Amino acid sequence: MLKLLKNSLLALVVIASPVWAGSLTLSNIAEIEVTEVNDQGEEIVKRVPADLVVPGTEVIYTITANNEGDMEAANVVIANPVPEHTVYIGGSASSSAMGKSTRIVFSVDGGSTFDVPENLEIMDEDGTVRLASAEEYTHVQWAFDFAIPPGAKVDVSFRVLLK
Amino acid sequence: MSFKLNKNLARWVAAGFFATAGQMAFAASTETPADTDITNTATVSYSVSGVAQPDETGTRVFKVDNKVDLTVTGGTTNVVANATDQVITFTVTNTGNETQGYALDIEANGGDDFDANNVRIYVEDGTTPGFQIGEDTLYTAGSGVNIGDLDPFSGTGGDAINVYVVSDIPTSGGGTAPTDGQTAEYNLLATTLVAGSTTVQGQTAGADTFNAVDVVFADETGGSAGPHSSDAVEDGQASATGTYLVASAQLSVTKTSAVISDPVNGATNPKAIPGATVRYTITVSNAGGASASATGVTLVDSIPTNTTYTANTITLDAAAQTDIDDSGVPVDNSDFNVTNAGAVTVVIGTVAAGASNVVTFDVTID
Repeated sequence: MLKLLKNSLLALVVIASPVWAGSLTLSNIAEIEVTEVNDQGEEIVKRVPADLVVPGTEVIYTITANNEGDMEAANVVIANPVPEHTVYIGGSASSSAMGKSTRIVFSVDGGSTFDVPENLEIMDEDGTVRLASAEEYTHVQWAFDFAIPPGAKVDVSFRVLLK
Repeated sequence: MSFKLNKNLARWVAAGFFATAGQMAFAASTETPADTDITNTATVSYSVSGVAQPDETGTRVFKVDNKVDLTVTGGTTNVVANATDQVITFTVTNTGNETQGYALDIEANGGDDFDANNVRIYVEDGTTPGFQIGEDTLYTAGSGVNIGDLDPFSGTGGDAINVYVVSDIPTSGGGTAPTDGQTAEYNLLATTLVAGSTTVQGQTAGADTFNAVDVVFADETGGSAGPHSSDAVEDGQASATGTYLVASAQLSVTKTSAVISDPVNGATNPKAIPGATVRYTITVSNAGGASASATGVTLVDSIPTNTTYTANTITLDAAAQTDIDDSGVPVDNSDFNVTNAGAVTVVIGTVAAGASNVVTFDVTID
């Protein structure tokens, strides 16, 4: 009877462990920059939620991966398709990753393959192969070369232009 | 550099091709329509203790707002005094991301030289491109009436419409008769209306309404307002100046004569005695400062009394002309005593600004 109880308790632990041991949550916010003049008459650029957005507006996405579990999360990769009706702004992808190494790569083929900008090529209809431009990127991907400890979080960010 | 050829390439290339073809076929706006949801979804993959965990996603949606933007362009029309129904063509274009209506108003620009009479506005009705007075729609300036909705995404020219300002140029002889190079200028103002209505389009005041379509005036952003006195930047209005430029020819005619021979002295120091041959030289000039070519120029010169025309002596710019009326025959449209009795007639045609044409003919003194 005692042994049986022990076994079932073990089983419970095994089943439950993926749920609470390492759970990353992801938040995604969209902001725009507005210029305001402060009391000293200086222009300050403020970020506000991206609610008032018209074509030509630059939108800043910030994605936060938060480790709410009690074990570290490894091999963390955040992928983000460039939203429909927007184009990626070259050089805007960044990571707050605590000074540690993040590999930022892009896709020009709908997310099938990822590479750094110097290696991204596109074949035009006439067969010529050229370097892809930033507005042709379909996906952005951040791969972290470190584990996110329990209770820690990383922010990644990129900007797009609304067509 | 390495190029990864994969099955997605074909799809990518094909998609690129169709996008190009689409741009060639349509001039429609490529802006994102108002009320479009922009959805961003990030996905994170990770592992814990070497075990891959289910992907997590984070999604953010916002709505594209209504960017009210428009342009008005105006042209210049060359006119002459006393001309009626002279047309300046303006174009109103919806460059925003939502279908809108438009109302029109017009004012005389302060910096010009004269005013035209009977200034009217017509809106292209689409039956026949270009202005037709009996066909296009007369519009009452300042009435607030919607000239018709313009859809920036229609792609078939439906995003723009021609507006014609039609006026009469003052008559010469009046106190306001315009002279060469003077202008009459008119500022056409287009005001954005809510589509399908005569309600002036307003802008969303205060904070944005989340997940609703707000309105932002984006006309003349970062530039200067148009010329109309009611136009300001980012006000849902745009304006342009159209110009009537008085452009006329300034023709002058000079006539000289020289005795080229007489029956006694021949060609050496000939005198104007009976039987002497006299050559008339007539120069028709359009002044270099004229702003238009003279067209349909015809010179008629009666043979002086007591002289007799010498047959086959008409020249135009040193080219011999015939005496018969051969209008319709290329080059030679001169005659003597046919088009006009007892006179030399030379059809010169067009005299450009700064150009001259020279006609000569000979007579003998009776």
